[in-house]
Amino acid sequence: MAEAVFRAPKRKRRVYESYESPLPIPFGQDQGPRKEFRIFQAEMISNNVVVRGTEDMEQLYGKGYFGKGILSRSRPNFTIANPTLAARWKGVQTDMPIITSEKYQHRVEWARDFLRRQGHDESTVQKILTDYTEPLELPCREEKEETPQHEPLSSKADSSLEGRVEKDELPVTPGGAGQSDDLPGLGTHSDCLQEGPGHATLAAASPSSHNGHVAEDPEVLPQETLVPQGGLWPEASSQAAGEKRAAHEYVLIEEELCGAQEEEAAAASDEKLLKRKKLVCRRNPYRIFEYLQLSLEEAFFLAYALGCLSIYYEKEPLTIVKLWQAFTAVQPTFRTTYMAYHYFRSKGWVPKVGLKYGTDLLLYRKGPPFYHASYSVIIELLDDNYEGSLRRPFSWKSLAALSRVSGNVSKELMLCYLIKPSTMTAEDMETPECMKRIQVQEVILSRWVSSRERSDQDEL
Amino acid sequence: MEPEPEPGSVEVPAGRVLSASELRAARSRSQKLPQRSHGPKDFLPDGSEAQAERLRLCRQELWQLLAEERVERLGSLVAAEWKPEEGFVELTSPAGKFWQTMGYSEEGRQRLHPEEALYLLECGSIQLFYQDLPLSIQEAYQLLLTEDTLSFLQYQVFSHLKRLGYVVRRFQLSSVVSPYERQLNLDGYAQCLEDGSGKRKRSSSCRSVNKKPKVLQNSLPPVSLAASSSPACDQSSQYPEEKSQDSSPRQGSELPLQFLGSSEPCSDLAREDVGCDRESHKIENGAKGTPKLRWNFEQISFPNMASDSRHTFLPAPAPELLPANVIGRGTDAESWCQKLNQRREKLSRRDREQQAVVQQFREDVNADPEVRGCSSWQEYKELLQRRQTQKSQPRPPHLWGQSVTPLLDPDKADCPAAVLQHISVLQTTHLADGGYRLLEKSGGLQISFDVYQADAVATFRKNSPGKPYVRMCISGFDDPVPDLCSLKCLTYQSGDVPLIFALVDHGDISFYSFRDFTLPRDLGH
Repeated sequence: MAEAVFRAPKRKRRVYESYESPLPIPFGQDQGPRKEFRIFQAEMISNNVVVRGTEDMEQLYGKGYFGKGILSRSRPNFTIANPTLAARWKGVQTDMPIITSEKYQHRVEWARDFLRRQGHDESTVQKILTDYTEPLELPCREEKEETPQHEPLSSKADSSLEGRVEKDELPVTPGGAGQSDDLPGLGTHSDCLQEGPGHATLAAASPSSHNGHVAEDPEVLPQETLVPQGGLWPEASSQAAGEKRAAHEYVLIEEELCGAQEEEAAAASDEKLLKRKKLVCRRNPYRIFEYLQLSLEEAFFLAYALGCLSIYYEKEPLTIVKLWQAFTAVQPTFRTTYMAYHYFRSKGWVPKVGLKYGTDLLLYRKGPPFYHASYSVIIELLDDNYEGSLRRPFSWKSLAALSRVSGNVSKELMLCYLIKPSTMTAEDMETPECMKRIQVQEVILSRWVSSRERSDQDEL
Repeated sequence: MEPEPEPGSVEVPAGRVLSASELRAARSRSQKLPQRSHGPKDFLPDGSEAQAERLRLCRQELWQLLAEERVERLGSLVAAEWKPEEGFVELTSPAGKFWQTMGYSEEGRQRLHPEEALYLLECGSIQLFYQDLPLSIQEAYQLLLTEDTLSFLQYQVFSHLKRLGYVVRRFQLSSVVSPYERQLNLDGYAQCLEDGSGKRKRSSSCRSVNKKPKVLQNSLPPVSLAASSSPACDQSSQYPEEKSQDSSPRQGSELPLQFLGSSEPCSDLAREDVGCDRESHKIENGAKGTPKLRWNFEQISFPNMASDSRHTFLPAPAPELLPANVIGRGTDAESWCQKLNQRREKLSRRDREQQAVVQQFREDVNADPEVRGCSSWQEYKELLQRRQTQKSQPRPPHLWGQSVTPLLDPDKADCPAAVLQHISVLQTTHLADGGYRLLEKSGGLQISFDVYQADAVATFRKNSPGKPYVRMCISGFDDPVPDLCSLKCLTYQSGDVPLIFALVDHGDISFYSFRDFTLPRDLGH
């Protein structure tokens, strides 16, 4: 047959995680009673779709590999312990992140800077920080267990609180005045977040929103030390940060046992080092929150195909048609790319952005942790006569280059043509229902090597 | 050994006749090819003398190689004559071994296509004459490769493949089964008929062997084939494989789906009814209110503080419209107008952009029919309240209460396979689909050669060559990439033989294939 043969995807040599589920929805076939169909929440923040809830982030990434952590390469694991440290202390049973003392000192400095800018004098700042960061015996277990009970959708009070603080956090607020006050101070953090403060980008959203929390610190911190479990602030901030955030982040810090000399420590072997060091539990005075960013295609798929994501714009949930139109306005090729995304998702594959290989999509079997991407996909929308303005017109030269790149990373280059019937009007395209009339043509481009294709090379 | 002078060709000796010692020297000549690499490749001229010298040496070697005199036995050369008007070469002496895979017979004469003659000339297998004079290779290139015959690019690809050992024949569209035959699945039969007519065609036996697995797959089609006069029917029978794959999970999941379908939707509807009951009443009320107007708005003057048709006297509102503890009174607001800033609002560019962004996501509150249905603030607030509570339900109204709802019904998410089935809305198509209506639209590109595997040489028969290994389309590296239209057209012409595009860039040839593909549905989670 003239059809391209299917080549089995290449399994990754080492897999560090187990496979949970293909999609972030409960399946009825599971044993026991049907689990609740969870509606995740996301927000539009300057044309990006962002998920803030810790549980939502975990579910969306863990089941179907949707989105990407804004501070991580893929899985949002910024707040998780440094892997080398975790390996060194693997005997310790904890779910708290283990960080180095340098990293912790940075956090303390940032908090100090912030408090100073709030106009506190040096002694107050020192006192607040010392109280707040003093070593704790054990993390408050009760509190940790308590927090998951805050269901995101359960009470009205929750969502109104959330809404209130959100308004402060949004980097693009209609007024924009309150936000500009915060910005100059952010310059000091920009090295850590790798993003200039003035940008209305997503990464900038995190420091500014973060400031939103810390802004409440000065009033709260002293009280906080007096009444560890109470206080208004933990409630508010945990709601603000998403749904299920613990009020405080407890971290384990690897610290020198007692005044060991720097040189000695450096000279000492690893085992010795370990003996001299211990883990100390402290509260993190300067939290940096990581969010999950969904591509527009992913967000729309979750909302339209699965119906498991509500996307809010300034507290108002958006309807599917509105999303379809708004996303098109944000990204003019959205409809084209979404249709292809939907097509491949509905075949059980995991499409991710193909930017790194110069294409539109990469297709993974199961998910990036398990298999290498099998296909690198270019998407084009054509009409009935197989004509249309191409998003990416090719010459043989550029096609050869792309084919070579794909081949070298052992991916197959796929051209995915979406064929739109000529009877379909622009009006029909205004709703995602138009997809039902679209035809998809997949074509595999491959190099044919004349000398290798010959069957009887040995004889001649 | 002296070349044997043959009676026919002795009159026109082609080239020199060698003396014994010259012949000896020619035979003992070194057979080794000059070394091709001269150190690492240079990519840009750097103007240095060393580089120029290296280049000169390379060129010299190449010229030497090309200029080397080749010694052939005149007797083993087949004589042939170039007929430019007809565009072929006719053999004037019996053909050699090459006849097994090259040339064709017509009108009782043995003939060669120009590319075949040129290739054989280069190989030293034939001696080519034109107007009774022997042609040099250079002359033959000039005469044989013309617009009417075939292009230089095509010849380069042809000779490249021939030198690798492939059997390369000209592609003839007529040798491909017509769409009608293919529709009827009669191609094997048609081949039989055409074989009988003595034309060069693919063998029926070979085809039927290839067809066998397909026939087995088509265990369903006989029924649909009988009715295949309608094209719709045919389409479904064309991909029986896919169909059967598709239908099996569907059938598997049908039972639970139906089971659910019988109970769930009803309860769903019931639930929604309860939820929407009050709401729908309200909407009706509102809808009733709008079409038949109770008031004549032309006679009611609304307060207007703006400078156009100002109306500033506000009469006291009817007391029954006001809450009990509020007292209304008439007033003239004229004095307020002086205090108001009535200039048109001027937005900065940034504000306007901001507004445009907001507009993208915000629906105008007045566009919402439910809001329009509210006849008072109280109703509107109730509506908001209701919506707020609905947001936390498994079917929030912003997703489920709209004209376009999510594809997946939360109650039907039985297993991943069923979910994927539910959300699969786009149709798959194939390159060969609908190709017949494009036959005239190949965009200038055409298939040039049929290529057969090199190991077929021993058993190759020109009159029943069997199915080619691939078919070749030849294009320059600077020519445009075929669009989907020409791709479909050419693929259709090529039928079930893979189509390869050969790209020639100044003597270098690279090959690419565009193949039809359908990503399998992955259920193995």
